[in-house]
Amino acid sequence: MTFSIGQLENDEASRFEITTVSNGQTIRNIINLNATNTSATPTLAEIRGLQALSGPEAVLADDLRLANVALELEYLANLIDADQQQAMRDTINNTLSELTAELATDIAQIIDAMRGYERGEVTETNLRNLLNDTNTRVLGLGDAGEAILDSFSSILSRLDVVFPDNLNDTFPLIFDDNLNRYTRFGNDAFGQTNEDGTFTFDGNLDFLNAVFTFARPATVAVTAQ
Amino acid sequence: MNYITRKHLLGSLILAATLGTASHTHAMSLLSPQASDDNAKAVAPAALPGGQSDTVVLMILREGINDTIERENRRVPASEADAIMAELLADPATISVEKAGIVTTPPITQPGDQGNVSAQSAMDAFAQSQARGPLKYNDPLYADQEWFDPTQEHGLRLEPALDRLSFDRTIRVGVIDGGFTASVDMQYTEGVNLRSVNGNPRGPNFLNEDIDCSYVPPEFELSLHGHHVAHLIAANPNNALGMSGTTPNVELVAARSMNCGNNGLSPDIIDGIYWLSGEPVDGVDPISEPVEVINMSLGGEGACPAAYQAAINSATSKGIIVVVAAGNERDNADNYYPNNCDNVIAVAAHDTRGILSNFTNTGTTVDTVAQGSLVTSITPEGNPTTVGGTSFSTPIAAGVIANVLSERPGLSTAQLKAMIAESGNPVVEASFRPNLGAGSGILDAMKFLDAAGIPRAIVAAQSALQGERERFVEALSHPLAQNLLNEEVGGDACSLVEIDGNVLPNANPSDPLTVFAVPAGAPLSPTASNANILAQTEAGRMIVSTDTLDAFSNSQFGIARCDVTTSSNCNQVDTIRGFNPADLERPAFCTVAMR
Repeated sequence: MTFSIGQLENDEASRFEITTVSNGQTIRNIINLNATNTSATPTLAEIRGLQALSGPEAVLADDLRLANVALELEYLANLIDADQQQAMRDTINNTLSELTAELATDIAQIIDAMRGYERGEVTETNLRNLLNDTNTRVLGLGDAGEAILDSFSSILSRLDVVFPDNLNDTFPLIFDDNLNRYTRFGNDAFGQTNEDGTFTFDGNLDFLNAVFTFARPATVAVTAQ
Repeated sequence: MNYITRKHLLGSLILAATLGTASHTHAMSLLSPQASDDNAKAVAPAALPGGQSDTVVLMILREGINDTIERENRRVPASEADAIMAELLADPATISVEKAGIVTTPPITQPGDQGNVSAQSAMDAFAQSQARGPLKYNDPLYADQEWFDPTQEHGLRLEPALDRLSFDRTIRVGVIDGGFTASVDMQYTEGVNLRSVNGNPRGPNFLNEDIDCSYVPPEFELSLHGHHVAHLIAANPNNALGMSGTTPNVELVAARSMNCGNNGLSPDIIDGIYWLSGEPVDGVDPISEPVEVINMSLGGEGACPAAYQAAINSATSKGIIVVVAAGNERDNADNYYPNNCDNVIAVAAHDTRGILSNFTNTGTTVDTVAQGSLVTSITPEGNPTTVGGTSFSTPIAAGVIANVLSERPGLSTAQLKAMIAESGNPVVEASFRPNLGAGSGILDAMKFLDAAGIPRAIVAAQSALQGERERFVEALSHPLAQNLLNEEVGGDACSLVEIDGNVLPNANPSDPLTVFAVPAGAPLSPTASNANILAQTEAGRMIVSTDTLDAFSNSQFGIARCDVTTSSNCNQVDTIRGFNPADLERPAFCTVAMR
């Protein structure tokens, strides 16, 4: 028996009762067919990634963490004083506040649309279009992240962390399926994803292993049983 | 019959295409509570009467009216279960039908748990406890509860975190478990029995003393699992009795969903979630007020059942945080529920050395790790004992989460997970202990409170790697960072001290901040003729090197926020504070790893 299902724009569920007679015995079978619109799976995963964010600023969490580490090092090294450090923090926050507010609106809309998709009221195409719009906004935040990191290029270079001039074009801020987060640092050019879901930066970028919580943490060897 | 809104379930339910009479969304198998070598005293599910193995309970979810989901638990003869499931699934309104599985709480001791601690390690631990200084609480067992101890190299550091919290607001924590007992060291605010077996009806009697547990054969121990879980969260602190709970101002609510021998059925567990969330549940009065945190130190093997996910989604939609155990099978935690359900915070276990516990599950679904080996607790008689398992790392973590929520109510599960992701310290990797994923590592309460925006106390001087900078300690102590600091300030991060003028709130912020030294015994004044000005800034804080301070032996040190050239605004009340470099705490990293 073959069931054929054409192109889908939503998941479809059907049940069939099939009765067969064999050797005079009637056998009833229930078939549940859940046709999953598999092409929408990555779209839904990405939207759920947005839904799971603690806030819209979390898409830039990794850029900001690296910037904060650089800022602390500048302060500890007496390259800037505490007032300059605070002024830089304020500048970053002011830059991001408008962008994240717009993204928050986008995220709320697309989560509503995902619920509509699950009810069969919104098509995959419409959902994808909305996600593209949201990702455009995320990329805009990525530009802001690039500008922030640019301002720390001097101290970062002393830590062997050197990015290309067009960072957001070369390593765009995207949803990384492997790391299950928005980041630009899960790119193969930087290192590799481990089986436990962590990421190990290549040796020349080892400093970043100590920066990011998703990177394999530094460990202390224990030999005794 | 009870109802939840449909939106709680959508997105979590996957009906696989199935053929034949065994149609159901998730097959749950009978579980052995533990690996056999870990379970000498465990009560096997089949060993207890009342299990009614000739029947099974079907957990049914249907589409209800007004976009709701109707749930029903139906006990049916086991021999007819598959046929009945097929009948139910033939109804288009049926969303899922699942056979209820048996869920277990594991034994409260884990054989072999940290049995390889060397004598030297034990001596080190003793020396560490002696170096701890005055204790926060006077409970006799407090000094043995390592997760409070700020000097533990691989610990939670709960004691200093508690000092940052006001506990003005009482928080309610629910525990779904079994084996609750009356105690002189803690009180249950309310509770219910949801496990109806052997003539013990559902209702308000949830303590072991009020339940007929005579069906448990004498060779098996009566469960005390919930007793220990509850005490780890809510034992009264500072009453000179027993132990200290992690959460000082807490109302503990018990949902007894397990029988007298550590086993329960999924529908009773799920009803526990609904009851604690304020939803009506058959057979018991409604809870007086929903809890804010639910602790589930229990589990079973398999994918997250749809009925569980629906209940958890219902709870989280009300802002309730569900904290669950990763499991004790030394296996992949991703294969055990409710650890692998969405919208939960999953907790694995470490031992007192910071190594993952011998028994703990690990995996990509784990969020954090807390102490689960050699966990100090008390017996119902008030005697000290130790327990082990992720069952007990979970309430420690749940208690800390409750503490944060007491100060920052309304934080969502997603927000807390993001904070926890920033609040860990690495577990100590050991070649003999596989790690399939331990989340952000060992939960650090101080970092957790930082992430939650709960301020630390302002001090005049502290190590530059302490305070909120702790969250970057790995990066700031990386060899490349150390090289940079050596080039710029002639020392590594461990040799730097931060001076904070904000400790002088009444000072004029436009006045410079000065570090000075005067001979021991002299008046502490920056304008005295014998005062040496060591550093000065127009900013509110500054970094100085310990070398700068060490150059002035037999001196006393102070900070001043005033004009030291004219003495304008300089006075001991508002603008001058002393500090003793010998009292500065050095981060564990600096004292252990480097020095």
